[in-house]
Amino acid sequence: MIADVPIREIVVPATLDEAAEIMRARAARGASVSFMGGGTDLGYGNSPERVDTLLKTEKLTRVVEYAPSDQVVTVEAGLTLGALQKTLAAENQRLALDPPRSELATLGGLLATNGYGPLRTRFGTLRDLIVGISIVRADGTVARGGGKVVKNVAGFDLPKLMVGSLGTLGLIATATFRLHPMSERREWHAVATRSLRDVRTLCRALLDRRLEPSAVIALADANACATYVLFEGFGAGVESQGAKLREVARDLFGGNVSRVDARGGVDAAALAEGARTYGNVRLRISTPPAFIPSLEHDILAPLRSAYRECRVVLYPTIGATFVGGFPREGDRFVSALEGARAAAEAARGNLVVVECAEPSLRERIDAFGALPDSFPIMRRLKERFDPNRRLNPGRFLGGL
Amino acid sequence: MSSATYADLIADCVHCGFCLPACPTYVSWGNEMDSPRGRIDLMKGVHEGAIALDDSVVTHFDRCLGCMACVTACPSGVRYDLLIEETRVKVEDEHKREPFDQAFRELVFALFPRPDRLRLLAPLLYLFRKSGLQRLTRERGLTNLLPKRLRQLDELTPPLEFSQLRVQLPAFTPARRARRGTVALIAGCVQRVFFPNVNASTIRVLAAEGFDVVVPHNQGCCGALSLHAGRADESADFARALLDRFVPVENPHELDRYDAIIINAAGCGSTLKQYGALFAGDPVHGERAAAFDAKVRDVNEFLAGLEPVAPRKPAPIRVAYHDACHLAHAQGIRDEPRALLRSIPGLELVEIPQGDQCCGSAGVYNLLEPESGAEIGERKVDNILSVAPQLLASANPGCTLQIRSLLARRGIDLPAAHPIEILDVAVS
Amino acid sequence: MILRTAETVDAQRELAAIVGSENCIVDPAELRVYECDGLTGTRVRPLVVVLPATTEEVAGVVKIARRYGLPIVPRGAGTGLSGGALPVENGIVIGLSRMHRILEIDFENLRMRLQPGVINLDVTKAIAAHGYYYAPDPSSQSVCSIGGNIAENSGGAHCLKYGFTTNHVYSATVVTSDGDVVEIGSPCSDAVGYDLMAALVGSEGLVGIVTEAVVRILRTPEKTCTLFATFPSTDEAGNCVSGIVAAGIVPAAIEMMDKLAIEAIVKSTGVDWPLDVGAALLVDVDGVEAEAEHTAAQAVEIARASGALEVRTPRDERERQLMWKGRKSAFAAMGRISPNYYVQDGVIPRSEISLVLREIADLCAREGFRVANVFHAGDGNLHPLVLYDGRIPGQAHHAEEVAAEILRICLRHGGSITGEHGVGADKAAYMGEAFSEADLESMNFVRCAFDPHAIFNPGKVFPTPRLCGDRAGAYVPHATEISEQAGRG
Repeated sequence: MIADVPIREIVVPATLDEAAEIMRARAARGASVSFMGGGTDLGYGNSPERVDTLLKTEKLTRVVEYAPSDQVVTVEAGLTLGALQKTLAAENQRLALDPPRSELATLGGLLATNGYGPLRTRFGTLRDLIVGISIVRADGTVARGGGKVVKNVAGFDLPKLMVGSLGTLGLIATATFRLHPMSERREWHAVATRSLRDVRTLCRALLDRRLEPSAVIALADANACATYVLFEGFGAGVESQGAKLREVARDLFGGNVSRVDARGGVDAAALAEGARTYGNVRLRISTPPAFIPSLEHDILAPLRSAYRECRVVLYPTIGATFVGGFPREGDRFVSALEGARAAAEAARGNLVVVECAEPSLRERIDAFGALPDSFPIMRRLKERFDPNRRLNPGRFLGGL
Repeated sequence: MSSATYADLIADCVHCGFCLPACPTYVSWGNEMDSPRGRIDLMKGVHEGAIALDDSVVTHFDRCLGCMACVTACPSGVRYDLLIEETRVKVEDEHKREPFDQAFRELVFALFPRPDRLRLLAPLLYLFRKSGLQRLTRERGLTNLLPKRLRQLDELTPPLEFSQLRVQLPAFTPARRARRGTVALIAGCVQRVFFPNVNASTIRVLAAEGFDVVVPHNQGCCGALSLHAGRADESADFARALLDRFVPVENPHELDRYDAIIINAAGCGSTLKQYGALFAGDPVHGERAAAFDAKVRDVNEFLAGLEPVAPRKPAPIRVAYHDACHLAHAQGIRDEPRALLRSIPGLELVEIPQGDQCCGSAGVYNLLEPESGAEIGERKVDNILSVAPQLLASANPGCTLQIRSLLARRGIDLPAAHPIEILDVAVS
Repeated sequence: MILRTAETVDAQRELAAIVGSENCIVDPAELRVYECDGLTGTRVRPLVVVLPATTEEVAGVVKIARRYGLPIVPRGAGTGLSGGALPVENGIVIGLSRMHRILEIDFENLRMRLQPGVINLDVTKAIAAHGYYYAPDPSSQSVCSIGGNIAENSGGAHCLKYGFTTNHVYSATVVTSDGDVVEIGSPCSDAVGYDLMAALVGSEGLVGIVTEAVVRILRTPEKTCTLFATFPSTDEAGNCVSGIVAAGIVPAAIEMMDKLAIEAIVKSTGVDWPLDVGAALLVDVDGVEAEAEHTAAQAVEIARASGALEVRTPRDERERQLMWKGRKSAFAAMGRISPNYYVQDGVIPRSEISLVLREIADLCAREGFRVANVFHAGDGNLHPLVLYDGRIPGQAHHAEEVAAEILRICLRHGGSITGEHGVGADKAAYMGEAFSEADLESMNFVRCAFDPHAIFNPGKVFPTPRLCGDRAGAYVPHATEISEQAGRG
């Protein structure tokens, strides 16, 4: 089942040709098709209206082409990020992306859901890393966009357009990414911040001191708030940034900064990932970064009270906040969610439900909130790519 | 200029557009016809016979300030300065202007390039101001009844002191220190009449720096104003007369007396340095013109190239230096006046934002195109005021007149001086 | 489409009523200057050029265009090198040059709201004193405008590390072909729904007219180290590029210039670069001071090991600026060594630079042309400049053919037909060689989603004229759409 919707048929193509053939055949019989990679984000979005066919990409795991000297790799969509990173590590390279559950999550799935992690601070999201794509359209036609060079403006940017399209425009078959060198050194530092206001002040100070962290994460409890900062690069740069961070934190908070790592018992990345995957109802709140000091009062506090238990993690330089946990009874949660959404939208941001494993709640809340005024264009885009509305119907915003 | 040369100069433009933001009229209106790239395209169209040299096309040529900022901006080295000069000659030769337009142009060129007439006018302006008549007409809005161009003429004339009108420059001033050489001064037209102190300061500073200064009498106009307006014959007449004054045909060696010929007005300087090119091939004037222009130096350029010997007294003042187009773009003189000003202890030099943009004065442009001149000038004034100077340094009389008149309209009293006047205060 | 004269006059009158007659250009001589952009080979005279000052005026113009069935070509500063702003006969050109105000600077959120006519470099100038900058830096940045940058997804030397325009625009106000004003994207980092910004940026004026944009600004790096190295030939320079990248360095920029390009630049800008070398690299590394200095030192070592003849670092910021000015003036500087030139823009995998440069040199030698190369070596974005003399009959056409062949070389090496100049009118014909019919059809889907009437910039990008005809099969609306809970605009 996907989000409690029964699946009539599961198909697992072994090759791209097979996948295209399946798509053509389902088109001929008017079957709806949904796609599944590692299954880490099946609860993202609204429930599909129906799932006649579930196409799993688990056998499409080839590395199609890897040119280390060009720092570009082309892979099939079913390859997991973890497996890709192992291949790349042999050449001292990586895809600069660290979403939760990267051992399970596939690149196709990450593209469809726009999955990202704290490295977004420095490297952006998949839209900043993808350079080429091939898709199988609803009618089984294979189409490509972009290419295998990093710089390319030939034609419309289909690769980026597919990022976050949640399987509603086509099956992502292969994708080409630009890669980054592995860092000589990476160091996480824990900074003793007390509140989100402190977090914001710290981020501002990092900017003003011209530090260039690869990631900043903040774990925000109702009463406490810990910030972790990652520096990457060559030894000299990482060391000098660590030293400056200590100065900044001392000046601002009079507090300690400590280097942390997994061996020492504090794995910052794991802590953040734990918070992002915690609970059965999870939200992503986007706001402008300067809104963060108001976040606790305007959005987080009311939400916390609607969860029995929850965890909150922020990427404060981005303005992305993730809330996950186990909600209290329905009415209370729905109204808290609506209140939080209204507050986020008032701050020119938004609130999206990225997982909701409680069927009773699922039918009462919309995953995406207010439709943007560009929605008519989105609807026409869907009409063009999937005129019969067979790809993951109803899953995306506005019933697309 | 031959037709083939003109066509080749046009062909140098590769249409890259790097000149657009440098052009003040493009900045004002954002249309291609009033940009260097567009004007060159119009020149090409007219030259190839694709379009007629009609009122509309001529308007766009007329609206060009001739500030040469595009020449500085152009990576391809297009000689827009030569192109617009030649095009203006063509306009004056081939295009029939509206009678009023034509009459006004005649008035301006009968007046400005002729210091004798300008000097005659000056006492009238003096009386006009002192009698309170000017205040009266302005207050009553009577000047508003005047056509815009005449009103502009009225507003631009600076407040004069009667004493200024009688200043006569000494024909010879000896060096005040160990003599380093002899220079001749070109007194200019507008400069001489409206800013006689600039010439006096120039002489004092040069003398203080160890130069004998000669001011040949009966100098006329150098021809710059006419040249920039396409009045080629008139300009050549002026130039010949001045040349004869400094390098007489019968005694061409008179020039050898001078180590340099000094000019302190930017617009004149750029034309004086063109004399060789203007008379190239002319059997009577060619050689003398080349010898003459080789010696022409802007006063800033000349002084900045010397080791200073006159001690500078401190002047703790915040000065904004305004780049005159005919210094910065036409002669490439940017660092020299700044260096001179910085040689004064305590003087704080501030840079005017968008300093490479014209002030809208552009010779007689603000008289012929008053609205455009004012629009461009207002931007200049905004930029000047944004750095809050106590004193404006401007090395061209036209710029100073324009900026001061626009400041006066806003009721702001920001003193303006030629860099040499500021230096004069510091060395005397 | 040929308009009846009376209708033409009516349309022009209505347009003038919206933008003001002084901003509505109909005089044939005046229209002449809008016949082309930076690509001058083809000229088309439009019916009318309008220069609106506000979003409302743009919307008004689009509505009139729709009513009269007139196609629209948007135009920024007109510096494009692929003819993206080439007018359509009997069409309207909407010039955005008068919409050049900076509307808002938000240092807290690192955003700026701009009108489309704001010049790229003016964005950085407005914030530089505060220690910020706008990253995309096309070589024409002193002229080109943000609206044009968005249409073309402009890059520049420093996009190697910092990305292209598409990585630096959050949201845009767009006038659609219905004359509606729509906000695309979001000022916060995760917009909901399809990533329409991805489709908008780089759409070459085919989907709508941007009348406002919110862009991302960055903190100026603590330190930028520049080095200039000369080499006996492009082979050694190419090896140096590979070496730097292999060392795990992500330079801000690596630019290569060959012998002819160096000659033109020296003539144009007076930089004191040696003329007796085969190639030069201009490299920027930036970041926190310790990191930048470390990587710069490493890059110098690599350059020496790769056979550099000389490695210099600028003495001061002024010299550094002059070096970069030299590089950025390179195209136009070709005017100093050749009467005419054809700028090509192709991309190849970085590791094949030396190989491809040799192929291009052989091709040009065979065809009797000189070729200069000045390009973004870090991302394999070549700019071969085919030098010719337009006064010799047939040369222009021949040069164009040679330039086309260069694109085919790029494609054979797995590259692209354009890295930053766009497809426009110039390369539409080659899109069919780079993409399949299905690929192009998919791109057209995107265009039609924005502009179902196909009135924006027709004839560009796609190799054959495409309309947005009937869709295959009827759309099946969602229940909420029928009940009007969800909007169907």
